[in-house]
Formats: sequence, C-alpha cells, structure tokens
Amino acid sequence: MENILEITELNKSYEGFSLKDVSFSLPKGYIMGFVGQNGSGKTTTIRSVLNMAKIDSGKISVFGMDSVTDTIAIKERLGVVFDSLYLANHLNVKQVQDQLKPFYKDWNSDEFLRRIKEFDLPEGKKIGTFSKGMKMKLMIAVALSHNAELIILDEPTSGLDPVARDELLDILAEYMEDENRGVLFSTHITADVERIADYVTILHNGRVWFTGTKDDLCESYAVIKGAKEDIPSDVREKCIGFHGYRNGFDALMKSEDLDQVPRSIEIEKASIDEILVYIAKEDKSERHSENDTV
Amino acid sequence: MKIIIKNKSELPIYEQIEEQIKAQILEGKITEDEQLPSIRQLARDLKISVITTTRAYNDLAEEGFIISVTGKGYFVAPRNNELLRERMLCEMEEGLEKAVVNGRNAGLSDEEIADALKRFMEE
Amino acid sequence: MKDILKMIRFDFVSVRSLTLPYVMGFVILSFLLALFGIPLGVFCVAAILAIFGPVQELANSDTRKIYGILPVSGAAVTRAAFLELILPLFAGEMLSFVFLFISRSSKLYHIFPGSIGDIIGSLFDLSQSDRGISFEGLCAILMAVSVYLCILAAFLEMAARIYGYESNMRNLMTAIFTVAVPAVVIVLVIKGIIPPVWRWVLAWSIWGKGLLFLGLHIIAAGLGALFCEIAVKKTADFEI
Repeated sequence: MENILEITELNKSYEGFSLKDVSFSLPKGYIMGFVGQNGSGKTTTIRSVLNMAKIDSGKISVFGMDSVTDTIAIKERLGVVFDSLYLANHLNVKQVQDQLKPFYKDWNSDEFLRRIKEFDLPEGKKIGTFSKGMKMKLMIAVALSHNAELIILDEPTSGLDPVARDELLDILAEYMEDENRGVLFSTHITADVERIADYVTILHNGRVWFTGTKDDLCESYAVIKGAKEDIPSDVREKCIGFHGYRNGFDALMKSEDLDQVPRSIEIEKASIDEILVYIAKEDKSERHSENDTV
Repeated sequence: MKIIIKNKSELPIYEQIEEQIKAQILEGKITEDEQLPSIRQLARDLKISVITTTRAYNDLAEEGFIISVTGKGYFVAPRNNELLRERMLCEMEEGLEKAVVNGRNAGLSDEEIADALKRFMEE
Repeated sequence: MKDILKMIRFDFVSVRSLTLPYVMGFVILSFLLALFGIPLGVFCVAAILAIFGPVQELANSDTRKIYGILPVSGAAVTRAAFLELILPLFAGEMLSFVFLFISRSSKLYHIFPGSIGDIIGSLFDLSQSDRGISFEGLCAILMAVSVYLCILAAFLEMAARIYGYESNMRNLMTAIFTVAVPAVVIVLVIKGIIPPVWRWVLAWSIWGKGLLFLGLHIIAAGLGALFCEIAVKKTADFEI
C-alpha cells in the first residue's frame, strides 16, 4: 500500500519539549486520527510536516516527496486547516480567492464558489466576522478548490459546536470517497475520530504511544473494573493507569493480558477517550512513584 | 437498502452492518444481483471508517451473501445458493433447539411445544 | 521571480481595500492642487509607500501561518516584502516629480478672482523666483529624501526580519536612523557645509545632474538588494 504520508524517526526539540523518534505512516485512501493531550506534540509534528518547524533529524515524506527539499511541490497538493484562520480578517470570500488563486495550478474557481454556496458562507462579508465553524469551512473550501490530495487538520474542532463538528465529518466523509486522497486529523476531541478514522496515532509526551488501525487499537485494549481485592498483584502490575477508589478500581489493560484477569472483574470495550485518560493517569502515577523512591 | 448504525450498541459497527444486510437479503428486501453501494460510498453515507465497511463486505462475501465483481463492485449473491440454504437451515435448527430447551425448562410437554410451533406457522 | 510576483499580488490584495482608496484620494487631490500651482504632490512619495504599510501588521499576527501553507519559499516571501518597500517608494518619487512639474507650469490659480489668486500664487508658485525654496531645491530634497527612505526602510526591514518587529534592536535602529541622520544633515546645513556643495551641483549640466540622480538611486536600490539578501540568508532556518 502506498503511503501518502510517512514520518520516520522524527526528532525535534525545543526548550522544555521535544518530539522523540516519532514514526507513523498513513496509507493513501484513509483518514488518520492524530490524538493526544494538549502539549503532546501534535502541532509540532504537523508544523514539521509543513516545514514550518525545522526538524532536528528524521525524515518526512508526503506524496513520496521530501518535506524539506520538496516542500513547495508538496504544498501545491496539500490542504491545511488550522484552529484559527490564516487569512486576513478584513477580506471577503471573493478577495480570498483573488489572493490564493495564483498559487495553485489546479485552482478551480467554480468549485470554490460552489463550495462557498454549499457551506452557506456569505460572499460579501468580512471573513473576520465569520463564526469559528464558518472559518473552518472556508479553509476547507480553499483546500477542496485546489484539489488537495491530502488534508491536514490541526485541532479544527476545538471550540466548535456539535452541528459544525458534524458538518466537518460530513465533508471529510465525502472527500474520502476518492480513494487517492488522505486526511490527517489532529484533535483532542476523540469522538470526532472515533467513528470516521481508519487509522489512529496516539502521541504522548512527544512519543508515539500507538499507531495502527482504529480497530486494532480498540481490540488491543480493554477497560477492567472491579473490587480491588479481586485483582492479583501480578495482574495489577500489568494495568495501565490503575485508578483505585474506596469501593473498587478501574484500569486499562492490554487484551493479551485479559486471560489472567479473574472472572469477578468486569471487562468493557475501551474508547479512544478512555485510552487517553488512562495513559495520562499511568504517567502521573509513574511520576509519583519516581518521587517516592527518591 | 437501509442501514442504521446505533452508536450505543454493544455490537461493533461492522457487525451491525453485516446483520442488517443479511436480514434484508434473507427477507428479500434486496434481491439477487442487486448492486450494493461501494465500500467508499457506504462509508461516506454512514460517516464511518472505510476499514469498517471493507470488513463488513469482506465478511459478507466470505459467508456467501454477496459477491465481489472486480471493477464493478459488490452484488447480492444468487438466493438459492446452497451455502445460503445451509446457513438458513442451520439457523433454523438452532432456533428450534432453543425453543425446545426453553419450553421444557418452562415445564411444557413436547405436545404443547409442537402445538405452539404450529400456531406460529398458522399466523 | 514568478513566486515573488505572486507574493506581491497576494499582499496587494490583502491591503488594497485598507489603503488604496485613501492613497488614490490623495493622489487625485495632489493632481488638482498641482493644476493650481500648489505642490502638495511632493508627499506622494510617502503616500504611495503607505499602500503596503499594513502588510507588516498582518505578517505579525496569526495570518503569518499562511506563509507556511502556501506553496512558496521563504526567500520569495522576504524578497517580495523588500520589493513592496522599494518599488512603491520609487514609483511615488516619480509621481511626486510629475506633480512638481505640473505645479510649476500650471497656473490655474489665476481663475480665482482678485487677491485670492495672487495670494496662492505668491505662496506656492515655484516659478516666482523670489521664493525661499526653489523648484530645483524641492527636486533635490525630494530625491534625497527618497534615496534616504529607501535605504532606511530596507535596513529596518532587514533588522525586523532578523530580530523581530518588536525587538529592542530594531527600535534602537529605528531611533538612530530616523532621528540621528536627519539631525546630522541639519547640523551640516547650519555649519554651512551643504550650501556650497549645493551651488556647485546646481552649476552641473543637465547630464551631470541626471547621472547623479541615477547613481544615487542605483546605490539605494543596491543597498536595498543587499539588505534583502542578508535577510534571506539569515532567516533561512527561521520557523514560522
């Protein structure tokens, strides 16, 4: 399978934060949900793909081209949606088209105007007065109008109402009807990707915690719940993000370890959201125990 | 064809799709040789992962409910297909067995269970 | 080169609705006044320069991300920014010259009745030789200011691109160049060094003056290009 995006051993450090050996790939024809807590490195990774951040080491290839040396050719075919508008607020939709059209060989004005109508965006109004959802749709309209083959979205849904989020999923679902395309969708609202994403990459503290198909992720982990005294200590060690309270406990566990779990303990499917929460809890408890030993 | 995805269902989405397509084939709501929406169309319409719809179609094809025609898409398999018949017989036997067990557990005699079955068939 | 033009066009679309109406209004007013012999048009050099003014502000905000998304190189973005300073500046200068010529030769103020026309004429008509400042003097000042502005603007743009628009380094440089250099010039005038030089140049042939004009502009544009390339080189590894 041909990869539309491939990141290999990406390293990038800033003061107080670094991406460590980030590797994942997105095959052509699929949507990848790129999830993780705020500050886990999603935006830095995306900025590296766009060559906005200069990588320390590693290799990123988009459409089989190098993200540093072929960045211009890549961006011709790339659509980008950020959490805030990257266009000047005082322009209207028509002026935006005037501005961007010359940069893209494949710019399709009819398609742009059609999308603007479809998305109910007023043509004459200043885009600075648009709601967040409208701004997001404008950025998508731009991406669709130059026939982008890969759309990268960085937290497009933060601060959006449920209706606008649903509209975005509709648009992406339609976009993916063409199997030569791909979407990298970064978000901390995992409900957005839970249904539509084919692949999921979880970033945690600048490292890839999981990357693979969503089905694989959801089948690889389960949530267990029960009474604390029912869980043997050797099994307890295998728990991720063990959370004990007065009347019981809950934790995340790898499916391969589930056969060691006693029958009295409930096993449930894990959602991506739950997985993220347990990863964060595990992290916290590790830090606590480190402090204890010191 | 009608497919409804329940988010709150315990069944995974691909199984929900499989169940509903199977039911509609068995009920004759979608008929032999009818073309199904493509994997990507279905994913788009239901706003779900392409991998999920691929899996559902693959399973259905494996079980003989639908067939894949390269370059054209997926079609409902011929109905009097042996495999399908066998499957249905199998499901019927399972159902009868369950009915008998439940009936006996409830303290019914074999005649009473047979009568109940006849009444069902007359309805 | 194509990328640079695309970038200039991009910025122009961005700012045109903000500045163009005012600048055009000023240019038309300058033209009308020039017909009546009033040389307001000397300020066109500043007005035209202002067309691209808001670009800096836009480049400082969230909108900056666009440079990371568009299929253009960082070098093209930087070069476009310098051209957006230098080209309007020289275009404005030419326009100012045109208006100066018109205001010298057009004497429409005569249509005003009686003393009003005479007052305007005595105040502004550059062809009336007893004026404190002559037509040649205005031309020279216009040229000197344009050349100076070109070098200054390019230098500050370089400082801004390397150290940031809000940095102390750039503020210090702005202060030095906008205050200190004109101050030195004023001192030179008071000390009586400039006037002899001026009289000497005034005596040159038209060719000599033309050559001086051309030479100074080439030097200014050359320095602009130099500052631009330094900025391109120094910012090559900058992140957006």
